[in-house]
Amino acid sequence: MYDRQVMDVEDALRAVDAAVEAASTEGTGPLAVAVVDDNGDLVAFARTDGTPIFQQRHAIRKAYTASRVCADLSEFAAERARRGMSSADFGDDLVAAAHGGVVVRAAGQGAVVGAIGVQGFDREIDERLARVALAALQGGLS
Amino acid sequence: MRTRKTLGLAESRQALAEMLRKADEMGGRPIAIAIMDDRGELICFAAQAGVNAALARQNATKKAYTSACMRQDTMDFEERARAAPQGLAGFGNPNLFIGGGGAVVVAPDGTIMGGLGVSGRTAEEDEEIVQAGKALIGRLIQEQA
Repeated sequence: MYDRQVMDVEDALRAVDAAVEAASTEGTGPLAVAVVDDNGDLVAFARTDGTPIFQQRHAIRKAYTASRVCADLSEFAAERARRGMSSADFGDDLVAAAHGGVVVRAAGQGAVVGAIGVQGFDREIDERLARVALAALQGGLS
Repeated sequence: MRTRKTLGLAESRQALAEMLRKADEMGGRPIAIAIMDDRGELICFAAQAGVNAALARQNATKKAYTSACMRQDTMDFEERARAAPQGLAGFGNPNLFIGGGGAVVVAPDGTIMGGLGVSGRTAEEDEEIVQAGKALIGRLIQEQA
């Protein structure tokens, strides 16, 4: 028997709210943000008004991918490039080649407890808002 | 072209918080909550730690989808499906759900705006939580109308 850190819904919702608020403040346009647990299952999700359906689904795929590969999507992309692999080589239909996904680790031991995915209009903005969400999530942890 | 009143994140997020609050107040097993627009597409979602990964997440989603697309609460849809000659199978849609925990969101002018779904506890408990969400989101929509 062992203890495993798990994603809490209140922390996940705080992350989602932070990304939505930052997008609204910065006027970045419609976006979707998803937080998943260590299994890649959805814990919290929100999309702003007028977000196209593709973005909604892609935010979830991004979070799922980061959680499953235990890496930020930028690191995952670099690793694929280094090894000459495509996202299809992982044999998982939900694994996406994308940016704007960050992994969430437990404080201290660093085990992956989940991931955050942001899908808006722009790779740099998605990455930055994913980090805003991550900071909000971790900032409230006791 | 014409416009259609559509369920937004502001009122959906408040309803999500209200249902989580209600669930905490009642006490019991962890739940999943889904809120969808009139197209049956997700607006916001929450799953409490320890929720049944395979069943509750899927059923919360199915309940919100069914309420939005069949345009009635899943309890009422159960009656309709049972009265249909071929039952639920006759609808030819594997994503439909019958039973407690799904509620349709209707604007004061009758526009179907979306659906709420709650899963993780008994049908009666899921239903009580989702009706709390439906009541609040109804008030919020009415205030905006």
